[in-house]
Amino acid sequence: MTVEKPASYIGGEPNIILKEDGTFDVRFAMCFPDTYEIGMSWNGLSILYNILNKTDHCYMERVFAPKPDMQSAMKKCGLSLYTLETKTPVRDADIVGFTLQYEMSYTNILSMMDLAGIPFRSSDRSEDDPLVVAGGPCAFNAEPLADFFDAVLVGDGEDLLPEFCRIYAECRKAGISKRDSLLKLQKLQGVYVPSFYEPVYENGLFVRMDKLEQSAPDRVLRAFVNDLDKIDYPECPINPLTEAVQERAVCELFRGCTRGCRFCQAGMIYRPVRERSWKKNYQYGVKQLENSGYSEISLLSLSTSDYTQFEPLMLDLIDYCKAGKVSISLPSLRLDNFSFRILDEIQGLRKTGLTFAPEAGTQRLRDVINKNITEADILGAIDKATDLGWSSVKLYFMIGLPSETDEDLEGIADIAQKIMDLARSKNNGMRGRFNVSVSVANFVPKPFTPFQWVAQDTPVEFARKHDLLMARIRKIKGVTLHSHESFVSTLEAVLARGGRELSQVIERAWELGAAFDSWTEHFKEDAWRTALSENGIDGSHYTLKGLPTDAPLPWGIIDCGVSDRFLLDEYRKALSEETTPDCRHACNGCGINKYTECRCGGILK
Amino acid sequence: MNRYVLRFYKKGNIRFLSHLDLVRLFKRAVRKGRIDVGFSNGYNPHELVNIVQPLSLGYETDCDYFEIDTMSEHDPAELMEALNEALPEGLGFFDCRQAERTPEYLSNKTAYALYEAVFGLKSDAEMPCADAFLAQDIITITKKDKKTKNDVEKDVKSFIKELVIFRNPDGTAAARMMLRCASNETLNPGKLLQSLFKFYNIDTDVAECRITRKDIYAERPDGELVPLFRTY
Ligand code: SF4
Repeated sequence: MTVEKPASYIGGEPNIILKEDGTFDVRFAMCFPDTYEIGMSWNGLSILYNILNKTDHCYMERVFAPKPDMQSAMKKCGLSLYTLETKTPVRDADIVGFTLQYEMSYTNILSMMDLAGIPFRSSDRSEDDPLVVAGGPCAFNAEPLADFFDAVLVGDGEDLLPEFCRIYAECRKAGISKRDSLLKLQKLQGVYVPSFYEPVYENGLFVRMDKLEQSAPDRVLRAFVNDLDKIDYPECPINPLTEAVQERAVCELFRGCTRGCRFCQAGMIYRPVRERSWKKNYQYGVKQLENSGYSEISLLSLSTSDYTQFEPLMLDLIDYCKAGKVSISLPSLRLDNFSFRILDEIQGLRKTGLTFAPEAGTQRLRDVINKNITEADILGAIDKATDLGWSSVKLYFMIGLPSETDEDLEGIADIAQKIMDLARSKNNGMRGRFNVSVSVANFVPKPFTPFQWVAQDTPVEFARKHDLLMARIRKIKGVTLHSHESFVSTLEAVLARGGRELSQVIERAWELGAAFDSWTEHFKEDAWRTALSENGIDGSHYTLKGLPTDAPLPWGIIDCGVSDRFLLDEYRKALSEETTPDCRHACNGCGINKYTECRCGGILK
Repeated sequence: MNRYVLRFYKKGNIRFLSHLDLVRLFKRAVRKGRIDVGFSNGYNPHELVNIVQPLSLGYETDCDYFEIDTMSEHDPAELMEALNEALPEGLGFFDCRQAERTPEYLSNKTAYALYEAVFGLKSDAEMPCADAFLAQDIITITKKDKKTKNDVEKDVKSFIKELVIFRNPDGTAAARMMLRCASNETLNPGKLLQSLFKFYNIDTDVAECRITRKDIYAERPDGELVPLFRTY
């Protein structure tokens, strides 16, 4: 029996942490429901691995989803899912934690539990089974998976997770049952215990959440880390053995974003902006490079050039990296003057990776989504970029945004056309030297955004829009169009905004063979369609109608800190094409500062 | 610049690391050890390091070779220690010596490699003797054509210097094979075993054989084979 990339299943990588049995109280199996190559590129794993393993009471080990060929090999020889560090069966861990990074990884969670021999539903698990928990961005609405998890951890994990494990360790030592442990654990800010609540439906519509346990909080407020400088950050990242998607040192410049794009969940659920000081970032970056041997460093944030200490950090980092032949990658960069100087300097001869995310094709629609970038900004930047020697640019758009018309789609093609015209005019009319790649994603309304109520386009409508765009863009030489599978986007919207009734759908789809749904070659549309119809669930109910703004939402049990009123106001402003300024110009009263200090309001005034 | 040649082993689970992944791992070890490795000139400078002969995924080695050019002179033992620091279990350098820095890497000097393969054999099964196999006029292996991706047969008789089969004390059988391993022509021991098993009707999956490279050899003008480490 041979499997592909066997090195992703052997562990033993440089910089892993090994702990002897008996030197810790809780074994935590950290499960990433996708492949090793993707999971090892997730910075959150590195952060939590470092923090949890620094404690005496806990040992975190890594587990990834084996690829289909390995899954069948494991089944054939009766090998159960194991941790990479010590090859302990996952079922023997005390806590099994899943990170929910994207909806299309949900079926892999079931594959992993199945391979581990852990019953899917918390109600079917005994005292001897591990406690199964989840966290990550999709934990803000974990209702579709609620039946599978004993607890869901919402918000920043750095303080919450070690404390959660410590309390659970104490409970176990004292011989306290799982249920009683959960009663204690739910007192921690950010801990949601689904089995303590019961959603109530009337005529198939969610109407409210009833408490089954009196002491359970009415709403679960997300956990916050207020000062990034005070929390530990990894200095010794694990070196993946097989090539990971991203293999580089990572500085997390800041969390949150002040720009307030209305479609963006990250921009809402990670509020407020919390910066790590540039000195710390520099130190961590250099340490990571030295301890890993990586030849690339990446600066991570939602909007890199908004980092208030961008300039001093870059000046020092560039010196260090030039001397050590390390390359710097800067995702999410706004192309202002300073950024161009930096890019020019770090890229030298190789001019690649110029990207813009206008998201919508007309100023009107950009106002609706509150994306603060104008055509003049883009063309100005292209002008400069061509002077400096760039010969390609990538543009990111979304289609199916609220209030979108065909005119807005035409606008996408118009921008591409104008960029080509400009590049060509600067190039003395010569063709073929400049390339524009246009990528359109299908809009998926997400919980805890001002667009959480809006309807989504049907797959047919998405397809029509793709065709319309294709017809326009095909005529422009040098421009290519990339689009996404429409039914996947529909399903994403269903899973993102669904309630607990979806647990059975996910389980059924998995039984019918759905797994690795984010991989086009594995996606099984039929399995999902059958699973939905067998359970009498009309997918379009979640996507087409839009949700009433005055009714409770299934994810309302979670409080992300941004007020419901703010989200609704933003939605109303969107519909009247009214923009909201960047928080750095003035605080917009989102309400997050009721719970934690917000240091970004009005700093640019 | 200075050249050092290191010998290394790769045993246990880490045998599942592919050649390319091993190259990346070594490059990281070089950076982690803060070795002042030389870089190529040009558009996209890369570290001047070389693994002399790639080893197929899944094979172990007792003795493979790694070359590295450094800017300054190093104490070989210290250099080796610095590199070993960064290696995972099962992988390690056990010898490091300075060599003359020639424009060509040792890869161009290799001629043969010695392999040992252990495979299961029913205790009462007759022990095959390699003679009949070797006495064939042509010895064919099946391999994928790189371009067409079709299976093609290839005569490799001239690539086999030596093939002996014997039984281990524990009852398993083993093959010792000295096979062509040069920059332009190589014979994969697994492929040869496949052909051998077919010839003798042995019902064993080659993927389950434990194959170890024992050393790599250069060929003197008089035809004598010498381990590579005696040539630099
Ligand atoms: S509290 Fe004010 S400044 Fe802070 S994130 Fe909310 S709206 Fe922006």
